[in-house]
Amino acid sequence: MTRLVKEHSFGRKGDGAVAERPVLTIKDLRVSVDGKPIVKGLDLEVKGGEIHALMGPNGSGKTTLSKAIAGHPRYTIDGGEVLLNGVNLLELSPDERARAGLFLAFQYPVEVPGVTVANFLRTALQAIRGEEIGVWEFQELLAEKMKLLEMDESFAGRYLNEGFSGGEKKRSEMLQMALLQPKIAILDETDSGLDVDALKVVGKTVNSMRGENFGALIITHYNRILKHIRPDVVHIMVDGRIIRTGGPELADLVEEKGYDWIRSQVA
Amino acid sequence: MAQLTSLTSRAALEAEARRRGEPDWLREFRLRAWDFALGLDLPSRTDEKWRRTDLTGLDLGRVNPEVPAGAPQEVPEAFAPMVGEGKTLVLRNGVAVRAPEGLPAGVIVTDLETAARQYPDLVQPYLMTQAVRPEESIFTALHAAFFRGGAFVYLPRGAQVEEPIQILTWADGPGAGLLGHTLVVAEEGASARVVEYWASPAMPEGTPHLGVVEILTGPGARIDYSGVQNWGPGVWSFTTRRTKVGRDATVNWLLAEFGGELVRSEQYTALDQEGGEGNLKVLFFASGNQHIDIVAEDLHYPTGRRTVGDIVGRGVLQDQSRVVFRGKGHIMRGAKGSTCFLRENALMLNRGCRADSIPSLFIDDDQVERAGHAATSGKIDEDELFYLMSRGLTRKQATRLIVEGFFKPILDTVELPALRRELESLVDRKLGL
Ligand SMILES: Nc1ncnc2c1ncn2[C@@H]1O[C@H](COP(=O)(O)OP(=O)(O)OP(=O)(O)O)[C@@H](O)[C@H]1O
Ligand SMILES: [Mg+2]
Repeated sequence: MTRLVKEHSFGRKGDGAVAERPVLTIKDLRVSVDGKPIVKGLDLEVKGGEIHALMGPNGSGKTTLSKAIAGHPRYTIDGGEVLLNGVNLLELSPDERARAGLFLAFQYPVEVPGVTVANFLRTALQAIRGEEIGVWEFQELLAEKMKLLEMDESFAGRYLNEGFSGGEKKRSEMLQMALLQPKIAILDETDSGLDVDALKVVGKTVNSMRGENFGALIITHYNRILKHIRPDVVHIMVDGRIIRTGGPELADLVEEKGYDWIRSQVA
Repeated sequence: MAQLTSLTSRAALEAEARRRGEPDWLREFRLRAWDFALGLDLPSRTDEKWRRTDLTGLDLGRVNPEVPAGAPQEVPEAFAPMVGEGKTLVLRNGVAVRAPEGLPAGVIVTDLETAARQYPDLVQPYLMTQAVRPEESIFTALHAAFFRGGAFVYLPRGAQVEEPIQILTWADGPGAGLLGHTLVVAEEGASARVVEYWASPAMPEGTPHLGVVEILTGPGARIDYSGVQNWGPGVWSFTTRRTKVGRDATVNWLLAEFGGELVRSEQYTALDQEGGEGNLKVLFFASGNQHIDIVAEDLHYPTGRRTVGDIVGRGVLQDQSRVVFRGKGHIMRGAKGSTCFLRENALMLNRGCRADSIPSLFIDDDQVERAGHAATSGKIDEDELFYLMSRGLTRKQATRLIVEGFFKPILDTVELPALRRELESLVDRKLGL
């Protein structure tokens, strides 16, 4: 399995071959937590070049979906498939999924005491690229990305997420994404709790990565982030399923009329 | 006293001391300790302080004061990274194979057997008379009877040693290398940093090590002492360390218990002079089948007014290992205006290991400045692991970062680069990296 992943996903390394356009395919996915079914048969496809938005009421299973895709051990897969360019992610450990090109920006980023942002990011980047990266090369790269994220340089020396404000944690997630250059990113409410300036920065970061080799699923409650990152597709998730899919106008409808209205339309 | 029957006889002990040309007082001291040991039993598990450590199978008859035949005389390879720095004394199987040069006037750093012959007036008044006493336990009594090699560090009044004094102890096999005694004496106003490192290859299961460390400080003196225990597998290590802190003196000590198979490590900060301060940090990393039993106590005696005691215990467990950490602070009646804190944290990397943290604080004086204790032990956080792994780090890499982060607050206090690197490398080796 690991060998397969390498063949499929490390296209950016080596021979200069054109990277395959990424496709994340979710088929009839069912996930439970502590024996309770949360995601109840969900289909979704995100391709390179596309931005999808996923909206849905609290508790509808959005975070469960994203953690399950990323491979958190607490979430049990009861059925279905998650494929990244044909590779079954569900058979991979979380780190193998990341190395295959998946990235999850956490709704609640975890604090890791004693581990500096810089040390962590260099280790992560080396793991993703599968090669040593010199200290100077790394520092230059980090400085460049921190500038993009409008982050103060002192962040590099701070302990990962420890004592970060809510907004700083989200910015730190975006810094990680910008540095690791995933093929498919899931942003779980990265916009929640951000001030207008930070929101712009997130928008700028995602937009800077847009292109054939990058696709994103943006989980959000608010239309405002979608003003910065124009989605191609909007999905509405209720009670573990996608009940409706449409264009950006769907997000406007949600904002205007609420989920109950959409539910009633579907029923 | 069945355990001692295979040990050398009193007559043999006496003959050996004469053969080595030890001064009369030391020979008498050893014989008194021997007689005392004969009357003692091994600690029993009915004794609360020993309840969690099973000594079944311990054979103190295997205590062996001899230098292994044909033992090499050079500095062992393992010490290469550290030997170039500081003022370094290297002991191999109890024999000094390298001595420090260029010490400031009056400062003595030498092996203890030599010191006892050359500087009896400086050694006799302090050797197991003020800090650790032979009568404390069967381990200290036998240690007194049999100690070999060892180190004597003497700082005369006002002496300041800038470079670290390093005492590196290696044992090639059972024998004299596992019977070292460290005696540090700092007279009024003197200061130095002392680094001690004990290491060996694997030994036959149950090979005893009996160690004692004594640190005595005069008024206003300051000693920063670091001690690393990294005996090979198979060693059953019994160590008693005590510092007696002088008036307005400071002892900062950092101990790292990494090696051995069964380890009983006791450290006491005795604060009986006004204004004394003792800060103790104990690091541990237990793996495999290791059993590490740590005692760490701050004792604020009635005469120890305005004394400061602090204990931090911090360590990691993996595999089937077990750690007992018994921290204690005692402010006795009369030790007014004193401060005492205990903190213990254990991090378990898998199921199957076990940490018992037993903190206690006794306050008999009603005018205590500040005192408190806190203890936590828990399994490595699955969400932290997942978060790091979701960025591409393998479980091993993620664990390593978390463990490094866990030790970092303590390692950050280690000023000497070679020591810090060595501690980090010991942690990595434990993690199988
Ligand atoms: N670890 C867990 N233990 C127990 N229940 C859980 C766990 N994780 C999720 N759940 C439950 O699963 C359901 C879906 O939760 P989830 O976090 O996926 O929702 P969400 O759509 O992300 O909500 P929000 O918009 O509030 O972030 C909720 O009822 C939640 O309580
Ligand atoms: Mg959520």
